[in-house]
Amino acid sequence: MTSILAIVPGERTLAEEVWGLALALKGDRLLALSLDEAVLGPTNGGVDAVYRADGWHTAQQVARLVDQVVKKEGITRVICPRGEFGLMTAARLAHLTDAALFSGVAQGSQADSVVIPIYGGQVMADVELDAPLAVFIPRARAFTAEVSALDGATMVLQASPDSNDPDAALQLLAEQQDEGPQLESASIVVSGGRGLGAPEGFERLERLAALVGGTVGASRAAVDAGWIDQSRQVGQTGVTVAPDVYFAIGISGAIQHLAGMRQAKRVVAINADPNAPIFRHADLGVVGDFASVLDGMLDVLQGQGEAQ
Amino acid sequence: MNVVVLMKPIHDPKVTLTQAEVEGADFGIKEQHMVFGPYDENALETALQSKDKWGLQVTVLMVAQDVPDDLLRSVLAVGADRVLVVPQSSWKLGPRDLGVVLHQALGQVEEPVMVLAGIQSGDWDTGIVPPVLAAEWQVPFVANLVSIERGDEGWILTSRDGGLTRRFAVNGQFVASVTSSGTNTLRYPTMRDRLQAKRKPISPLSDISAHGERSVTLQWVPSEARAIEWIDGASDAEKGQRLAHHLLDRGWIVKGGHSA
Repeated sequence: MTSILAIVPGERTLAEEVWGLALALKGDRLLALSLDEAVLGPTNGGVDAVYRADGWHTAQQVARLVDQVVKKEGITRVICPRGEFGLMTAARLAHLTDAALFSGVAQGSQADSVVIPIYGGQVMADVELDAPLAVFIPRARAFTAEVSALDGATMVLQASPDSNDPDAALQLLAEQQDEGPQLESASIVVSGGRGLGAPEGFERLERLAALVGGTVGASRAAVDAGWIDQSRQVGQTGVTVAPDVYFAIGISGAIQHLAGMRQAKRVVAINADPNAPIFRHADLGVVGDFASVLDGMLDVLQGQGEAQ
Repeated sequence: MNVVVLMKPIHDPKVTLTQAEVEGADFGIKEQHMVFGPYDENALETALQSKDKWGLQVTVLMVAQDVPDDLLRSVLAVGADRVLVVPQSSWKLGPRDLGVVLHQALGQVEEPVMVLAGIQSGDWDTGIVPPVLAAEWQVPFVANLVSIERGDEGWILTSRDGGLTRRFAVNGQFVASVTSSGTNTLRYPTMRDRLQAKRKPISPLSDISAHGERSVTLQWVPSEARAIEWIDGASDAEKGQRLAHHLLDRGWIVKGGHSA
């Protein structure tokens, strides 16, 4: 019998992914442990029991609460949200319960295997699940389920301080969120890479982004060169984006970059190299010097261009 | 005191994979185009900067089979003091099993003060192995580390995740995954460094064994090319003008606004 426990965060997108994977696994029983007061569950219901974690501060504390539910309910599959906290909770839980752990899960079924894309999606690893208890983390944007506030009985679990909590040894001193539009939710992303040649190249990208209501992104090469802040990086360890339009300007199209923008609805590539791999992943392509091409675009967008 | 850097040879991400490579027996183990992952290199450079500033030793640790000697020596040439290799393939290990193996290996490092990691290919690219190692070692974990400073009683760690910057204090051992910051691109070795690297130790840790090998089937996914439409013109500026008109006409962009 497969009993699934979904660890549901308060952040809606992550909760949708967790429930999406939980429903795809088609277990015999479906339970939730909510990390937030506003308990989110699948819109169509079907949840057998709802727990709520109260008073927690660290991944270790959450892992201990999950462990209680796992033991009490005979859970065989746990789903944690992605993100730093989800990863750490999953890792602490796996250590605590001696569970197998699978992150980046893109497909799951009742069958005892999961599919995890690797190498930026160029390879699918089909991994067998032979563990009595397994912890999963969904791949970004691979699953979704409509969620709404969940009615029904909620059992509250109170977290308690743990003198051996390793997470408590980390003290947050300061936290600052950049102002301005966020890459992850932008509908137009204007990204630049090493082909810009110098940090000044980003000035034209900023102007284009401002004219079309977009946000500036970058490849890892541009970040490594110190031309733009790391927070702008699109790719495997940067931000994964899925905008309506993605401009790849002076970006060759390395696998890690493609992994972060493959889900864009439309891709426009501008590159001096006609053989750049990015053109295989573009809907519109221009071969040319990016500065001159952008100047032409800016002329039109500022109402001065002629060519049709 | 040792900074331990987790590194892992992977298929060169700049070289497109072929079906024959992926489905061959040596994929991820002994290939023609093996390099260290770019984020592993960021982790190594961060460790080397710690060595420059505070005189820490840098130990590179990897779980990998049949690594070419010149690739191993490349990390010694840029300044790592030694390399420890658990000589087995990590492909069949789940991320947790790999974390357990790394924790065992860590037990053979003298005074490890921190572990820095890029992305381990053994965790199938998902960034989970560093937190798993932190859980096994029972220490804190920080993701997306961009800098390390000395604090009054320990370390001050700065992370950048998207637009969020956080600063932490930690007084004791920790694990961190490192991301590119613009200041941690791996340095180049000199010819002298390369020669000296030949005298530095590479130690196999053959008494460490992994449990829990899994059945993993790898399937090559053919890259699906989009049907590209080329925009041409007499000059690059004209191409740009035509591109802008195309985008406007199709409603992909609007002046000062939003795409369709």
